[in-house]
Amino acid sequence: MKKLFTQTIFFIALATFAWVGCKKDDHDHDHEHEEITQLAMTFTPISGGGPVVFQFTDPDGLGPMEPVRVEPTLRSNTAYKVTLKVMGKDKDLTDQIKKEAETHQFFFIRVPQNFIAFSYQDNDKNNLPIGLVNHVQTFGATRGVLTVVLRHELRKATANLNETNYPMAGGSTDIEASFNVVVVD
Amino acid sequence: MIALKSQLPKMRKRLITCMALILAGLYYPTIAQRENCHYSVSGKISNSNQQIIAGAVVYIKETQQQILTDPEGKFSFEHICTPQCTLVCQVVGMQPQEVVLELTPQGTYKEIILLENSQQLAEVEVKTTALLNSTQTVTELSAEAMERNKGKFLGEALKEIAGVSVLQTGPSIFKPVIHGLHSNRIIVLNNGVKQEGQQWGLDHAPEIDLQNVERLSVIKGAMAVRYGAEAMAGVVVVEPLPLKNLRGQRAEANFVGASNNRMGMLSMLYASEVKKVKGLAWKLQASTKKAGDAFAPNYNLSNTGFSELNFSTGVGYHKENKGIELYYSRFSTHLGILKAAHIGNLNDFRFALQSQQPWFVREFTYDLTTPRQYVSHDLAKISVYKTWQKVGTLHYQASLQYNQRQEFDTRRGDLTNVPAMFLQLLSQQNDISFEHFTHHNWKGLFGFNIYYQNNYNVPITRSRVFIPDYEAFDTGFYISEKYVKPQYEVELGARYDFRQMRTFQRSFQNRDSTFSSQRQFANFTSTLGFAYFLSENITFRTNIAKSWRPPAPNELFSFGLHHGSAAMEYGNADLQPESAYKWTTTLSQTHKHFSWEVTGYLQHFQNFIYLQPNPQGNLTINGYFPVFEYKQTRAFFQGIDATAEVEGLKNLFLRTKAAWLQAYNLRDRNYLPFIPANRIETSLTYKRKQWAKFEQIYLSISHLAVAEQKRYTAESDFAPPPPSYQLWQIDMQAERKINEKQSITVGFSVQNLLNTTYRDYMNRLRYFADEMGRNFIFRIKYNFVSE
Repeated sequence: MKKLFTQTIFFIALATFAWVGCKKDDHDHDHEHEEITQLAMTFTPISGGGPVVFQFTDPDGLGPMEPVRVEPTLRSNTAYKVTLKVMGKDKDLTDQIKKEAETHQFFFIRVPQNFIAFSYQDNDKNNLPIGLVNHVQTFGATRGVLTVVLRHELRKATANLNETNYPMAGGSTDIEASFNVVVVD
Repeated sequence: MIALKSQLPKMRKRLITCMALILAGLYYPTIAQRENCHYSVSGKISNSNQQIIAGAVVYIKETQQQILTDPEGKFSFEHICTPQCTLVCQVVGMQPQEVVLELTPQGTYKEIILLENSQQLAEVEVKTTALLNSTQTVTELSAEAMERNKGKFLGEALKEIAGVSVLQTGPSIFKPVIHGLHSNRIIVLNNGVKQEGQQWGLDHAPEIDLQNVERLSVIKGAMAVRYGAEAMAGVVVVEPLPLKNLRGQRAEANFVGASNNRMGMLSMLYASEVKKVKGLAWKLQASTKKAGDAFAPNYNLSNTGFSELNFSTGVGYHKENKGIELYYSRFSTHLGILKAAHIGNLNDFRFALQSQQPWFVREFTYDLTTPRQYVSHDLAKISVYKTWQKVGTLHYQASLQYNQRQEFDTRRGDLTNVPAMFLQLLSQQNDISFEHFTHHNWKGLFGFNIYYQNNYNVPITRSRVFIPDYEAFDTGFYISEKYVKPQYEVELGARYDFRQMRTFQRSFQNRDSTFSSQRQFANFTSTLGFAYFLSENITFRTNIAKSWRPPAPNELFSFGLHHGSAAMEYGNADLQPESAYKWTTTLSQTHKHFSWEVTGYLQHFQNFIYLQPNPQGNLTINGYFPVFEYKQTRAFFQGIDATAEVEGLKNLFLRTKAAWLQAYNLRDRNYLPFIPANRIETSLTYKRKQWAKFEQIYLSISHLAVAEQKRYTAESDFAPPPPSYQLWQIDMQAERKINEKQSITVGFSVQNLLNTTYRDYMNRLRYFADEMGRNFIFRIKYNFVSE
């Protein structure tokens, strides 16, 4: 009995040390990312002419790097078709947003208010706007700040939902990107 | 592994030296007495529940010879010169006992049963007992408090101890806080094993099933010498049903139902000795619970449900002087976190603070949506010991813990059911200790630990890694000695720890690169304690300890958004180990009709690690986020815990407990955040041993007042601490015996009796929602005991 006892202890000690010794060290330490890294807004003049692209690029997503903006000018008294493109690292996330349109909506906050006019041109299954395709009308030469907000899991059916009262509809922010917009003659 | 190997020869040499020294000391007999003194007496000390009492002081009045009982509760005196002697036995929390014995040269054997000091008092609430070290302040939760907390979480039950509070994340996550400190600054010792989960996380509660806990106690002091670095504020000691000395059979079944979140809990326990093999016993325990969304007085706290499934089993074989035990337990939980706490950026956070009601409120359901967590914890251990007569006991314990944590966040497309965080933590621990019996009034132990840990990010999350993969080796050596006299005890201890940590991480600048870094930490821990028994029931204890801890992985490496707090957290790879001196002093008295205990403490930290807001903030494509960086400072904590109880009228007990604490950042001359507010709780309990066919009846009403935390630094938090609040609670319980072996216990409680709307500073969801409203809880327990 005594011998068995001693042997048991010895065996356990040996087994645990052996186990510790045999750990594997070939982990894959690199992982993919799904974060949004870029928002691109393409302004195409409806009456013809080359498009201009606003870009808000944040290559490290939620990391500490400062985002980079591309802010071309818009022409006064012009109607634009505005399409949005949302990019992740090596991946276009626009289709995903389109697929889950019922839980997503863009809002376009303009300061000063209505320095340019914005209207939604797309709808989800419930006939509620998404904001991936829009219509913009510029007026006289001016400047302002345009903030694009993408909300996720909001109650889109909330009555009179607009860019000033959207927090009431709940949900959380996936994109909040501001651009300096200069409208020239 | 290489580091471990190089440590081993050193360790062995040290161990041998230590052993030689102790052995030399043990065989240094007092020869002069031997000649004509041939009487001897031996025996065993236990309490009324037949639980053995180790560390009790036994002395012979006439000769002043005295020893402490060994871990088996045994004592023996030899070379007594007179044929008659008076044996005195005393231990804190018990009534001292004197026995006059007639001795024979063949040796006398005497079993002494000690009664708990003023038994009625001790049963009402928490009580103080001498566990391992009587110079430390140890507070144990009473059996009654354990009963009352059936169906709850470990952290909730611990709140019953003065000076212990919780850091909460809604109604499903409770992290214990001792004297204002938590996470990696306290140790949770689960069945003798240091619990290793992802304890750095503020929303990560200890993965322990309260239904499997037989005894729950807290050591309020830097008990680092025995249990390793990190026990800076204290140790939570969790003990399941012991198999040693188990006689006959024991079965228990519990059901708990709660109205607020429509929770149901069922637990069962069966333990039995094997009649054919003396000393062999086994047990089986399981519990399950399920709860839906909790309700605040004005709205539903949507997505705060949880479900748990837990299981444990053990088998033990104990002989006269040796034993072996195997134990396995599994804990698993699936819990939701208040949906409205999921926010995108600082603006969302501001909206949440301003709104009257959380943005997401739905009909009651048991279903969970994101954010949610799935956590499982497996523990397997083996422990063996052998006792050599008059020398001591050698213990060896090996354990394996496997902790899995999956956190699901609100995501898009095929990622909805993919966890945003998936960590697997494997911990292996070896503990060897040698406890020597009392010799020339010295009693103590020494030992060493070898720990290994591996943290792995399962690469399916497709999201940023919050803490990196790492592996850590820890080795520690310690010695703790106590000089014991009937009137006083002096305790000395020292410990050396070495930690080596290898990480596989991303750099700040280039998020895709993987590199390995290595860091080493080593330091000493020491303690000096003194206990003085002023009279039979007044005890004074004081203890000063130096402790340290290496920085935790999140403090070194965390990188990115902390979910639910709309803040970026950046680790600091250059952090130095934190060290502290803690001085704890306790004065207590136990009397037949009253008892009280006051504990005061001071703690000074060097290199205290904390999150400091960076005024720069961080602009991202998701908007603006405040940035918090891990920094180090000098910190100072001071506090008092007090408990008092008095039997005013017959059967009527008035009890009050209070906790007061202040914490300062000395370098920046401001206050540290997330420090529990001062509180006082008063209860009035009516108790009767018997009424009609019921026994052990009690009826209690209690009132809790929590002050507003006025000591906070404005820029360190998003919102000022919530105002003070008061809560009322009632509890009642009665036992009905079916026969000699079986009984049924029924209990009923109402928490938040007045359905008060309030928020607590220590709840991380206080920015978003109120606390739970009124809750009716019903408990029924079936108990079977046969000898």
